[in-house]
Amino acid sequence: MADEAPLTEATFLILLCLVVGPRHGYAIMQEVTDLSTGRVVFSTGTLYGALKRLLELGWIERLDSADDENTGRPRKEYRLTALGRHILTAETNRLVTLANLAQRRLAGGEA
Amino acid sequence: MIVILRIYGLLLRLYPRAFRALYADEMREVFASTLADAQKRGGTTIVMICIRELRDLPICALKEHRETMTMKALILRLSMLAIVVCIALALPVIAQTDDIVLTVSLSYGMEYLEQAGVFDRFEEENPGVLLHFLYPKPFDYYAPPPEYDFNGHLDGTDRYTATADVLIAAIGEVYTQPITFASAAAGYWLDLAPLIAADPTFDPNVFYPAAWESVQWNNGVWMLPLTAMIYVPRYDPAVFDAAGVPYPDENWTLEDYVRAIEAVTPRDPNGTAQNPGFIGYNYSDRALFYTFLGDLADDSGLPDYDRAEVVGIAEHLIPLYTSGAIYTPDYEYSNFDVSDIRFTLDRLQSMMFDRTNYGKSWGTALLPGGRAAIGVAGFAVSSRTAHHELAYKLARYLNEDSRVAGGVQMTNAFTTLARTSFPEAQPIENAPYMMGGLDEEGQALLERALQNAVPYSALQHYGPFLKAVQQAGVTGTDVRLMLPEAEANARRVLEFAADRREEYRGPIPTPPPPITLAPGEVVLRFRIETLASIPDQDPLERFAADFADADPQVVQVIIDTSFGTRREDADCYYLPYNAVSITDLTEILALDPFLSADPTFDLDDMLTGTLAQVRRDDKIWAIPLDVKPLVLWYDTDSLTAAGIALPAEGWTVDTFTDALAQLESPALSGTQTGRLLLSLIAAYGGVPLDTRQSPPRVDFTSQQNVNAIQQVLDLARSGKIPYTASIIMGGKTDNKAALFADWFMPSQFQRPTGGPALLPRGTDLIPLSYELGTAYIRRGASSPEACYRFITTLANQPELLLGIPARRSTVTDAAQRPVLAAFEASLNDPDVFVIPSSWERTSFEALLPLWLYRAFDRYVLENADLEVELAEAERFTQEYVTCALALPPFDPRENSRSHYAQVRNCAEKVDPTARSFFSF
Repeated sequence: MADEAPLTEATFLILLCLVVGPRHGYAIMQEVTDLSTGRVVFSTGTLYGALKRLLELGWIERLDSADDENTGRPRKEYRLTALGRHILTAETNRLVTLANLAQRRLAGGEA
Repeated sequence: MIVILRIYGLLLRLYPRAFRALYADEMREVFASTLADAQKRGGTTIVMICIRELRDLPICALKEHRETMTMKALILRLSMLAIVVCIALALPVIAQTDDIVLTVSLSYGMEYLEQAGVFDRFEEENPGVLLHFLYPKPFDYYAPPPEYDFNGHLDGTDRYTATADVLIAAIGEVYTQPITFASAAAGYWLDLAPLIAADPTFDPNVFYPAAWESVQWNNGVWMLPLTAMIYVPRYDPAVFDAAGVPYPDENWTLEDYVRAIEAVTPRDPNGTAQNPGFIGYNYSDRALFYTFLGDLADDSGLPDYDRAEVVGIAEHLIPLYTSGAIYTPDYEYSNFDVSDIRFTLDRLQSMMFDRTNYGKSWGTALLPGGRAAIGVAGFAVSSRTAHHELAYKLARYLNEDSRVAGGVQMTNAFTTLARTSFPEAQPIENAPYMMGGLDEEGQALLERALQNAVPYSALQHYGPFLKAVQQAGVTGTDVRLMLPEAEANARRVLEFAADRREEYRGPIPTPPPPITLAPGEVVLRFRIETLASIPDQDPLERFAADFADADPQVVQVIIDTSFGTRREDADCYYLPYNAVSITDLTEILALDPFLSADPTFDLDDMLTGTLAQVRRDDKIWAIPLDVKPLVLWYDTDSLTAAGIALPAEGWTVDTFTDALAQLESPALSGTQTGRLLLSLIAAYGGVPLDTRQSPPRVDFTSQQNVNAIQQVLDLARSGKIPYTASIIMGGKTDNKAALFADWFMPSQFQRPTGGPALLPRGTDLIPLSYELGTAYIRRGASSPEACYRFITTLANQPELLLGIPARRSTVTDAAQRPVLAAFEASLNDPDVFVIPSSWERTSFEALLPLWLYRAFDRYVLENADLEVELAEAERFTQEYVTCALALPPFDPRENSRSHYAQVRNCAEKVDPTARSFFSF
């Protein structure tokens, strides 16, 4: 099952930044950089390759927001779907479990 | 930047077509935003981004191809990749040498400055910087006042500041691209204070103190002021005398103002104001109240209405708002009678204009303490700009040119300068729209006002305060309850504005690259002049784009509708009237060769009689596109309620007379009073100026003509037809009238929706007033054939024409058919009397009716003796005709100004008081 497979960091960060609401491409790019404290910096190619795959998986959806004043075209935004939120929650739980496990081991306790 | 974006566009072609269709536009925009952001941080960041994109994009593109690509396609893509790598090696150099484009938003009508090379020096002094100009129309980026629509105000400002790096703007003015406390707090405008602080050559002393202070608040400088609008009290001395009220002066207290406003307000028996006694335009009433109240901000700059004197003033003002005696025009339609203003705060120069031109003797004063209200216009910088220093430098450059000041003044009538001088002693009189007209007394008043006006920056928090007082007055709510709520709202609004600062705002868009033409290709410039602004230009633009797509030769059609450009710069043009008789035929092409080579254009399909009107010397010089008759629009409900048959087939003059008698006053208003009156006079059997003859026959005194004139003017005197002086300037519209005479075309006026019907027919004459819209091809057009194709294609698009199509077969609108049939029948009726066009005429013809109109004015407005006035007008007009006929005949090839000067001399020679006709 998809929700059992670990997510890449890039995917995880994209889903995470969409938790608070829909974002357009450039905002995602900036927020991912912020969330990762500058460690993950997308190029447009990487970003849109990732977005395309997330759309195909049904984890996010693409919407028309208000017209972009610069181009006159509707601006595209990306929103987390219920499935995407479920995946992100599952992945977060998995990471928390792993982190707990690691901390206990490192502290010398039992797994 | 442009080059980098183009290379990026090329790189995107590496992606599969399906991917590109979905994401390429977005990727391009995101990349442009990334670059613009990077530019703020410096050239190295741009290079790093370019390298990152160039490294990733081809790899990502190949990944997208992975499943579907054939070997051949793979080789092709890899070859492209090799080219890209070569480009990548050169990119850091390109990134550093690329031109910077600064976009400047001027105003519709200011194009002439660019054509005159006013901005060239900036580009010369700043190598690598290119200027790109926009000319939006006044309401393209309309931002309603924040007190009425807070989000709408900020959204409008957001749209405007997204368009350009440097923008024309105004402070203290409701309607003109305003910078307000709210939009500055929301971060849409760049604070110029740090840039000014770093600029050792900046001298604030060149500005008048009130203008300079107006642009500074919250430690920021929001604009460089160039022109100023000064508002002072204006009063009608006759009204004040009649009411027994002394004239306002700068020692007046609030009680004096309240007493005077109460006394001069016209009221009905219930005490309700029939028209406001006092009107404060453009926030100017805030400055008045400021002179009594001072600052409404507390020590931390927040609104503070919880003070005894604030409540006291509010309580003084409320009865005035309750009764409608005081009125603050908002951005909605202002429904008051502008011809009956008694006491107001308005632009100083407009008073002088009225005094000079209409003989209206307004009294003027200063606000308490010798103060005035002020608005300023000038140049501001969008916070979206990637080039803070350059944009500031450009704003300064624009601020220091008197010719630019002239252009800014054109966008705001009746203004003065916000600067005391210009560098290099530029001659201010070169500015074409500088509005003078102040006499010595007026000039002295202006100087004092400029030194001592209440700066806009002092009026923070007055908007919500006065809105609350106004609402308390209108709703009868206790102001003591409303003020705390208003204060809380004002504070909340500041927080909302501050929240907006957090929004993501993209960069200023890169202007489209200029089109490169292949041999044989052309760009057509098609100019459209209109009677009013085109309500929606988008369909026309789409049509032009579709035409260019389909045409084998034309790659682009530029639709030019601005009054700031010249007809000489167009390839072909449309006029809302027929100018064939007054056009220099060496400037345009005869169209017969095109028409005879075009089997699809059926001349018999043209409205009967229209082709004859565009012939001269046996040649056709224009293609009639549409016809705009002056028609009656009517309010079906009002007519039905009064038991009046609808004028579907057009009224006779008798049914019209009966209808007017039954309708309440005002019954018939309109936008073209002069032509409407002449039409009605013709319907009543009078032809005082018979322009069917040459020279025109002047007969203002025969009994038949006097009777007809009197019948019509008595309708004006009784209030059935609203009337104002200087009818030549347009008309007086009143949206309460059941009948409205206006062109059969989209209108900016609020008018009834019934109809339209033609004007009433007389027993002997059928009056007809219309304009024939015509299209021309200029000699020297880049492609006359392409112009012809464009014009004839446009002729087949009835929905794009403003009036009724001149080609019968294209009339598809059922509402237009009966009017068109009635119009065509009238046009070809032997009894038709066509009221001459206001446009299609020589200066001689234009001045011909002025004495007649003056006699109308004096009879209706001053109760003068009609026959005496008409006799005098007839004598002057006849002498004028005699004088003008002795002049050399009008030759369109000559400078029309010299013809105008000659006939004007004639007019002033026969009647020295005619000078007043020419000061508008």
